[in-house]
Amino acid sequence: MISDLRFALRQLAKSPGFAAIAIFTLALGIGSATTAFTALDAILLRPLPFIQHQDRMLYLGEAIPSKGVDSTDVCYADFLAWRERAQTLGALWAFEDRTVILSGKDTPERVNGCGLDPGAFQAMGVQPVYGRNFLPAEDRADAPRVAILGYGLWQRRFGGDPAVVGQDVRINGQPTRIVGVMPDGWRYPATADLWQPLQPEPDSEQRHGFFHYSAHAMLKPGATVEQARAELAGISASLAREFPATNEGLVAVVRPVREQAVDNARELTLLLFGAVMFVFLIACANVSNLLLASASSRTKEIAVRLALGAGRRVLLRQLLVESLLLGALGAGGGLLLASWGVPLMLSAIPVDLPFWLRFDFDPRVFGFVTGLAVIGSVLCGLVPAWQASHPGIVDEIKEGGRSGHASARSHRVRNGLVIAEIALALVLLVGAGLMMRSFLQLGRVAPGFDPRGVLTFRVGFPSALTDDPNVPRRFFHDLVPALAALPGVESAAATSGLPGINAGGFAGIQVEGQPAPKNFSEQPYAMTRTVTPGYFTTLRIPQHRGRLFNANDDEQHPRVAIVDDAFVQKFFPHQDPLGRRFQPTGKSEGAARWMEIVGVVGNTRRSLDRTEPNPTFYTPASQDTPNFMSLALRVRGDPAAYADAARTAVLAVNKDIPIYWIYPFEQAIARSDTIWIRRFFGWLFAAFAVVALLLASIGIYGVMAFSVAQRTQEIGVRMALGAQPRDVIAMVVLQGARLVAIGLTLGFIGAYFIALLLAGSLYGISPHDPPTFAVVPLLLAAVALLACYLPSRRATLINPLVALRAG
Amino acid sequence: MESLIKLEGVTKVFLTDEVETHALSGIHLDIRQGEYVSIAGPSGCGKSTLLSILGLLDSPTDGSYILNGRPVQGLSLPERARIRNREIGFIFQSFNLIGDLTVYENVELPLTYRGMPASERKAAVTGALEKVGMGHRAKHLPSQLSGGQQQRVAVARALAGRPAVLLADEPTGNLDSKNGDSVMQLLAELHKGGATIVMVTHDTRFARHADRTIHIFDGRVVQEQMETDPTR
Repeated sequence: MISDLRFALRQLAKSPGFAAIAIFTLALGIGSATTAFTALDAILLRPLPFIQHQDRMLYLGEAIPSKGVDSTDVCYADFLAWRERAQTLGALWAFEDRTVILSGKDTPERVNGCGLDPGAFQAMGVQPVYGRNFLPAEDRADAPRVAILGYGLWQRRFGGDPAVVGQDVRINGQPTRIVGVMPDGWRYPATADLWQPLQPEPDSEQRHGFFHYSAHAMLKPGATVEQARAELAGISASLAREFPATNEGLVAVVRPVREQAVDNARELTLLLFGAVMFVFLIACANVSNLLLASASSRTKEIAVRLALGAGRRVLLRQLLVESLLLGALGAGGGLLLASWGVPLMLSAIPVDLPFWLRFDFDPRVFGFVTGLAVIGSVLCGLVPAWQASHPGIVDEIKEGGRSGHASARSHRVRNGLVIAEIALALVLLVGAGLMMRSFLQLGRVAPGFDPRGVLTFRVGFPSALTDDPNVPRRFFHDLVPALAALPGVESAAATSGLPGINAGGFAGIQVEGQPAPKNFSEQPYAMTRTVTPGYFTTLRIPQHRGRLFNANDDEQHPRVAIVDDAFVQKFFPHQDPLGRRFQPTGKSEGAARWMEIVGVVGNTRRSLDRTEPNPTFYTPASQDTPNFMSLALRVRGDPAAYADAARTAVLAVNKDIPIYWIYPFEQAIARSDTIWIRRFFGWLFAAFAVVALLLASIGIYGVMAFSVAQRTQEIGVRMALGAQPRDVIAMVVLQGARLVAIGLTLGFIGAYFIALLLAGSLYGISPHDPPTFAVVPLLLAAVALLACYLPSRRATLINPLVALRAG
Repeated sequence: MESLIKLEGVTKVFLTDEVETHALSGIHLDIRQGEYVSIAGPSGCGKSTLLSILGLLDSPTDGSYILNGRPVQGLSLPERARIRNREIGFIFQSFNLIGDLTVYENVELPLTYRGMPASERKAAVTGALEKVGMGHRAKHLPSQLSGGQQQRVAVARALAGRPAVLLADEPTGNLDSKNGDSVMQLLAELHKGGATIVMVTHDTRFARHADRTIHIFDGRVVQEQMETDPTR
């Protein structure tokens, strides 16, 4: 074995060009596959960090199947019922994402916070590195305010000083005692930097039909997910009987926490990994072709070994050791490429990733690379080794290769490999083409508003900061004109949620004069946005009928609303909506909140990947100001250049309120989940498809170049007989074109079926999108034919005299 | 008879690693239409180089070459290929048939490059194969034929386009004596039919089939000998 290895090393050293190309090709294939596997490992396989018994950890949600709502937040009253009645669950905890403002030192800072049941960390088995966990009574409304810091925040804002534990810090304007610091990397549930006891709203224990919280639970040892699912289904059915108005049609959702967390990305991750394995196979086919070519030039050496009595097994072993050596070196190169590829891939993600997604190489990744190296070596080396060690090779030598059987055999294998490469590359390119076309379709969607030249940011008052509604009302009342007065700002407006970024709340709708829905499942819903008067002008949302909001639409005047066309179509079809009244349902105050429709505006899209507009109604901020609002500034020039001026203007109105999520509107849309995920996977598919295209082109180039070299004498004869250069080019290109045509046909059939797997991830195009299926094969054909053309050009340079003498 | 090939002062110098090798030095040659000329000489004397220049596979370093009344020494590569295809028929020592093509396709090949219509090609190929007695083997592959049969097919390929001259480079070099005699007989018959043949050989027995034998030594014509063999 050692002598085989030594000989293999000598062989590689003897042909450094061949070795370099083979190793680089394998490295490209293994590197691509490892990059994709690292993502797959992080998203689907790796255990969640820190959490003990995570196999028992569950996500709990509520769904309304009759409305097509698969999973939504949890109603706290329902959650309490589950906690009280469920026997299969050992611990249940509710939590909510919070905006937290840290002030009192330097400038105010907004951080991602999380309110959660005091026992949650203990249930997950996670302990602070300094201080203590929350105590059971600390969620009481009258309990002293306490918080636990995230490690990153502790380092960044408090200089990593352990003495901060036990000190009071101003959080949301209130002195709050820091009781602990969590371990480095812990940002549960996703990107939180600070935790506080949940302290649910006072009436939430009795308030059904209000879905605001998230919930996790731990199965009791021995209990199964199915048992928990059945038990919670039973409890939900009981609640529906007890509270039909709010709970009928509601079902509990119980899923393993990891399954829920990766729900959106699972399918695309698996598809991407599958696609990249195609790249790996193409690389293997290339190297196999190289080895076949190399073996044919070593026929004499192998024949001598056979003549000297070497058994086929011995020869196979020696040749496979050579390809294993290539595989090992390729794996090293692949790991190196992946160590660049993974950060490159992550740099294309524009958002903060959840804490449990870790992309460093773990033993699983190293195992995968080792496996690929072995599989790749065997895939690349077995056929060439099998052919090269064929005992008939001795006769071939004796006959001077006249029978041509062996060369015809390896010729067929080489052609087969090129056909496979073309087919695989086409499947991958069509997949990438579909993803890119789908993403480009999103850019063509008319969103109903104009995000160009608009700066957006968010600002507001955490409820803990103030319970006086006049504080935010006055703040936004003063802020919007101050922003509009900034030099270069054409107009400014505030809204409870911007369109296009999947933001905004929903409310049940009761139209005046129409019977109230009998139960929860019959309740119609619409999107609601609270806006300041300049909103429609600033975002260039067209006014269709009636009027827009003005300064008179305040608390002293009757409530008014503006609705969009989709709202009119849903609630007032074929009717004049102006002057009609409706009220949002679900608020607990009980007082009627009828509002009169005074205007109709164009539809806007909540998210650009939604084909149907959501019926939406707008209310004036001066009649009901939310604590948090997003600001939109239409400016002259680059919106990003106005960020500092906007920040200063906000601090001038209230020095303790930081602004955050400051982005030009177009960038904010690009960062929204539905858009960046499509773009990210679209680009990844495209990048790997380009690698596949490159490898397939190199593959066909190699085969054609080898074929030209093998046919030097024949081409010389043809030229001696009067073949013109164009005749030689046509001959070589046609030979390659036959392989390309077969590969494209097989690839087309494969792509037709593989595209069906992508159907769920596409927007605005069919999985059998005609332009993609027409253009991509043409592109691949053009590149492949170019790869055939280059060797054919070389063939025309063959000197017939030299070729004939060589023959 | 008028002159078909006229070489005047043709020299060929090969430059390799700063060494000048004079393969041909001041060759004057005049071959008339219908003539059967044999070029003889020891190995390395320059006879194959001369044949390559005659066949437009190589160019002279100096001197002029007039083929069928037209100077050809300074033509472009495509133009030389065109003339090779129409005016010259090659017969090689090692047959140089293309292994993946049938006998018929091999003979048809130069006609295809000429752009000849298929019906004309068929008549020409069939006629040429019949002439060399290989009509019954049209569908065979070269590997299914004996050496003598392969060379007959090569002759048919050279004939099919009705070239002005047949250039044969040691046509019997790869054949046993029986097959060699048979091929030489075939060339003699073609000559009787009016074909102009220039043949390189070092076998004096076969050289005697020609009207004239040109002896080359060290790249120079050292002797020209008219054959008077009464058996021809």
